[in-house]
Amino acid sequence: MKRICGLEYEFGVVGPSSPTERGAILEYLCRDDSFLFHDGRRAHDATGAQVYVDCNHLEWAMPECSDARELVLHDQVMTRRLMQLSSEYGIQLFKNNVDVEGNSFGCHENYLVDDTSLTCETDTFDEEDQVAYVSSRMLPFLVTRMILAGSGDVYEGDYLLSQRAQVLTRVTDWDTQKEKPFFAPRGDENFCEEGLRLHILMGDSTLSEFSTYLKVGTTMMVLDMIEHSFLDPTFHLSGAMTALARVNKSHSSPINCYHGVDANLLPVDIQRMYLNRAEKFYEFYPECVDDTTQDILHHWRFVLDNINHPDGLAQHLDWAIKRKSIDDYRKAGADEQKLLAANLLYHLLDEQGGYFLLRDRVPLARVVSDEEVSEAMSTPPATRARARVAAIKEFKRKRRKIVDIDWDSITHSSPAGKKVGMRSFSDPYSLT
Amino acid sequence: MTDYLTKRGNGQTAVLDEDTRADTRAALPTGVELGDKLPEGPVDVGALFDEAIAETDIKPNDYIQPGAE
Repeated sequence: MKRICGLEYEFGVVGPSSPTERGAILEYLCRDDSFLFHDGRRAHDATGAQVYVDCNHLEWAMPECSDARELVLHDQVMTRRLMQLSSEYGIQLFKNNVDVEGNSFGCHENYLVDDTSLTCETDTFDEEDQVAYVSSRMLPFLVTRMILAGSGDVYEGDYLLSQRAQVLTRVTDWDTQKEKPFFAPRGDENFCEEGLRLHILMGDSTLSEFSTYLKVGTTMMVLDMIEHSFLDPTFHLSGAMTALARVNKSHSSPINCYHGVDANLLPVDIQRMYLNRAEKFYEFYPECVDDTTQDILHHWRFVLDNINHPDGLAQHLDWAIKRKSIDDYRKAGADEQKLLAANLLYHLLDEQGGYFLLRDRVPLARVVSDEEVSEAMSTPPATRARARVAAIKEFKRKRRKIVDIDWDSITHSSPAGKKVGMRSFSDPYSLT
Repeated sequence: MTDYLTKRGNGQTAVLDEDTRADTRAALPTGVELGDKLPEGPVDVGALFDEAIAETDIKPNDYIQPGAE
C-alpha cells in the first residue's frame, strides 16, 4: 500500500518574550547551522523536510513518505529535532491545535491521489470537482476517524475526542484562514504534475505513534478504495458538521446517515463498514497488499473491538492515554486549573511534556524504535526527498548557489549567478 | 488491561506485574510494540504532573496562538 503522503504541522509557541521577539527567535531558529540549507526564508533538513515561520507559528512540513510507517518514523524525527531546538532556543513548542481563545492551527495531511480514477460525466472536471468527488465518499469515514486519531481535549468541564473538530466550519474551502475546512483545494502543481494533492485539514496533531499510524494508514486505505470505485457513493452523512460535533462529545453518539434509507449509526459501526470494505478490497486486489497493509487492518480492528473499553486503549490512542491521565490527576486531587494545565502539558515537546513523561514511565504503544529514529535523523525517506537532499548536498559541494528549493525542483546558479539551471524531481516516487 | 497510574488519595495502586505485562504484550497486534520503559513501581501521576506544571510554568489561560493556516 504505497502512496506519497506527508504531514505539515503548525506548532503553538510560548517564549520568554513578546510575540514580536518570539517571531524573531523562530526566524533565528530557522537559520540554525544544523539544517542542511537555509535561505533566510525556509530551512531544509537532511531528511528533506522544510521548516519555516508563518504568522508567529513554527511550521514543519515533513518530507514525502511512501507509507504510513515511514511517515510515523519521520514524524518522530521531527519531534526529536524540535525537542532539541526548542530547548536550545529557550522556547516551548506545543504539538496541539487549539488555544484558550478558540484559535486553531493545523496538522495538514497531504496524499497523492490518482486523478485519472476520479471520473465525472461533465467535461470540465477541475480540482474542486475532484475534491468533491473524494469528499463525498470519504466524509463518513473522516467525521468518525477521531475515535482512532483524536488527541483529546478538556473543554468546559467536558472531555472531547478531538481539538480540530471543535473549530471546523465547512467541508471544502480554498480559504483556510477565515474558514476551517475539512479539505482545501490547493491549485498548486509543486507537489506533483500528475495526480491530485489531496489536502486534508481536519485532523488533530497526534503525539501517539499509534494514533498517527492509524490516522494516515486508514485514510490511505479509503483512498485506495475510492481510486478503485470500491465504495458506495450513495452512503453519506445527513449533516457533516452536526455529526462531527456529536461524535466529538461521545464515541457512542449515533449520527444520522443515508444508506439507501435513513439510519442512525454509531461512529464505531461506520468505521467498521469502512474496515470491512477495506478487508474485501485487499482480498480482491492482493497486489495492493504489503506487510503494512495487513498490520493496519489488524490494528484498525483491534481499536474498534476495544472502543467500548477506552482504558483498554489507554496505551495506544492519544485521546485515551490523555483522558486516563487527566482522570487519574483529578482523582489525585487536581483542581480545574491544574487539569487545564495538564491538558496543555500533554502536548509540550519537552522531556517534561505530559505525553513524554508517561512514555518514559509506562509502556505506551510504539510503531518505531528509538534506534530507527536515530538512524532516520539524517536519512530521507525512500521517495524523491532522497533525490532532493542528494542534490542540495551536491550543489553545496560544487559551490553552486541554490536560488530556490521546492518539492519538485531546485533552481541553482553558478557562484557568479550567470548560469541558472533547474534540477527537476517530477516523479515523487523516484529516488534519483 | 494495564492500569498504570496510581490513584492517590484512596490508596489504590495498580502496578504492572510480570503476568499482566506478558498478557498485554501477547494481546497486542503484531507490528506494534509497547515501549520498553516499564514502570519500576507505581507512577504517581499527581506528583508527576504537579512537578512538571511547576517546572514548565505552563499557564493555559495565557496560551494564545492567533494566526497560521
